[in-house]
Amino acid sequence: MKNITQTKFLSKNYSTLHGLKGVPLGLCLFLISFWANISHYPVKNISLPIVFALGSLLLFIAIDQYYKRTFGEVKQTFASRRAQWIEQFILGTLAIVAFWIDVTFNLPVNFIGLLFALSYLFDKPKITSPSNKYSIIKLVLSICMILASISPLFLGVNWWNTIGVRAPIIGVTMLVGMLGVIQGAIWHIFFVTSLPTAEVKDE
Amino acid sequence: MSNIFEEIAGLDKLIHGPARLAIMTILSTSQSADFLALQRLTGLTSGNLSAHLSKLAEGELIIYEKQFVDKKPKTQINITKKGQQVLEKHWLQLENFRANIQKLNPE
Repeated sequence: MKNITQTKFLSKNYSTLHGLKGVPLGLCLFLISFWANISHYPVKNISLPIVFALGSLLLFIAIDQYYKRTFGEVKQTFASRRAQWIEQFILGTLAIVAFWIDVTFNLPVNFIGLLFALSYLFDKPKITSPSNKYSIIKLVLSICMILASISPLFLGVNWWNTIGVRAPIIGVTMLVGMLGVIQGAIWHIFFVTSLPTAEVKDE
Repeated sequence: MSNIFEEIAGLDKLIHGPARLAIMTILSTSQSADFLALQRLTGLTSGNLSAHLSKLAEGELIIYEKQFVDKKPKTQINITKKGQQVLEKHWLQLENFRANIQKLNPE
């Protein structure tokens, strides 16, 4: 059995630590932005991104079932769930604003990338336990996102073109998707190895 | 010194063991947990976990409800108000106990 602080941390963040749940969103972002990068404009057929989105949704449902069947379920308190809904609503609203800024103005900073970096920095496990391995991964990945988002400031507005990426927003979204998949896989490994393997002997 | 022994004797035996304390701590941080999650988080075998849950339920510290989801049994466990109070009291007693020990042994 792990110590009581570790057990408390795991139970409080049980569903948040199910890393593979983040993989479908990361894959979806990566595939859609990759498609946007190789498409011929003006785009006439958008069935492929719809297939990607539906596929990701199905994958998410399958992963959710896997976690429920293999690791069980810990329902968060109403207060934590409410905080999560508010957080998601604010992030969703900000994402729309950031997307609008990115496509309307030709700025050397990518706001979608910065928003993802910010959401990674303020993720729940980081707040509850600032020095754990989960938050370190989030910190490293958010730094990567920030650097990619502000890279045109140092490398020029068109530097993404030199590596075959049509626009900064596409490049940043591909990177965010890729990092989301990597983070999900690493968190899953952390989660599985954090659970106790030996039974406690107390009587 | 006798006060410290009285404090130890005053600890609630029902939740003082590491397994039951872990179960109670998990339940106190959540709305509810199912049997499988408790097993994963504590590392207990299903037999031992069942035994501990029965003891805690007997003491009215938890309640559990058995349901069938997709024809499979699923046990949902919740901490009761009494359980929450007993756990808080237990942590307070442990904190006091630690403080008293430190007073006796400042180094």
